[in-house]
Amino acid sequence: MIKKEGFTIIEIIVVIAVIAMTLPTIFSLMFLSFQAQNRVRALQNVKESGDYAFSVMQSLIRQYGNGIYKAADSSSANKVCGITGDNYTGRLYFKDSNNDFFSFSIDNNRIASTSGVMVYYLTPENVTAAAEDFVISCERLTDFDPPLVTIDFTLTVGATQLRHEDKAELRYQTKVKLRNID
Amino acid sequence: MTQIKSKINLGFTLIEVLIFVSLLSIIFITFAALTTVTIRWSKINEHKIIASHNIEEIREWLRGQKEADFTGFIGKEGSWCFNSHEYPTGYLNWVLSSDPSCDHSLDGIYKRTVVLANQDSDRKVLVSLHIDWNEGTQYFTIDERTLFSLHEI
Repeated sequence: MIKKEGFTIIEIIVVIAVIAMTLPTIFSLMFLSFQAQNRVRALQNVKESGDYAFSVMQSLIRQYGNGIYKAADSSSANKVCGITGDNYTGRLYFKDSNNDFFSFSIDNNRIASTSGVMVYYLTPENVTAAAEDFVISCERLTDFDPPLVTIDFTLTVGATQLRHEDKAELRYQTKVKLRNID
Repeated sequence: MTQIKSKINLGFTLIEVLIFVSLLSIIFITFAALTTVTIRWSKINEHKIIASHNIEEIREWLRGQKEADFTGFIGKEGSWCFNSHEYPTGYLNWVLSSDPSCDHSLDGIYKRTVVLANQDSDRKVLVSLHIDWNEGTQYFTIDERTLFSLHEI
């Protein structure tokens, strides 16, 4: 009576070799897939935040800005971009129709809209806006034209991450003309 | 004396092994194909997001040009190519979309063109923005139209 049980060493070696070839392929495919999805998620994050901040800033400046000052004080010495050829780069304070001021700045690496003592963050915590890349400037081309405000900022997601697929950066830049001037 | 010879085979038959190997192959190939498709679509989505941002970028730059110098802007009626994030400093440096240099070179894959058409006795400009790119054999485009006017409400 011949009784055969279990696997031979050759069979086991063949099985292990097949698994050794298959598993890395599966894992590398999964890794590539996760990498690509992370990249898309990071980009979506930065674009959503940027689009929102950009749109809020544009509409607030266009709709509610009546005058531009370099400090939250409506004395004529602080007024900028009031006459032809005038231009100013720095923190701008926009005066609205109620003589209240609002401005935009970088606070804790986030774009902040300040109105009185209230601070509203326009970007979430995980999206970084560097102060050195955040520029708001104004120029007055003619006395008949309202001041033209240039907004320029760059948003980054995953700036501290080591893996490049977790990082994304987008730049936003436009020019907005005030609708009303005082 | 009769010698009874019996053979007990505890292993698998050839058919069983073939079925097992076939099933395993089907599962593996399906998984690999699905993952490859996922990676491909993630890449396409990434390019769509960047393309959409590039369209917004050129729209906002053109809006800035319009706001700064409307007279100069309406003089640029035609079809133009903007295949760089460094925008021309003067109106003379704009590149025609028919120029041979207007290829898929923006970010390495995109071709971005703009058609400006004056309307309403040169008080408005219809801006048609177009970006296209290839993903292997597939061709993608994003188009946007917007109207710039001298005084926006």
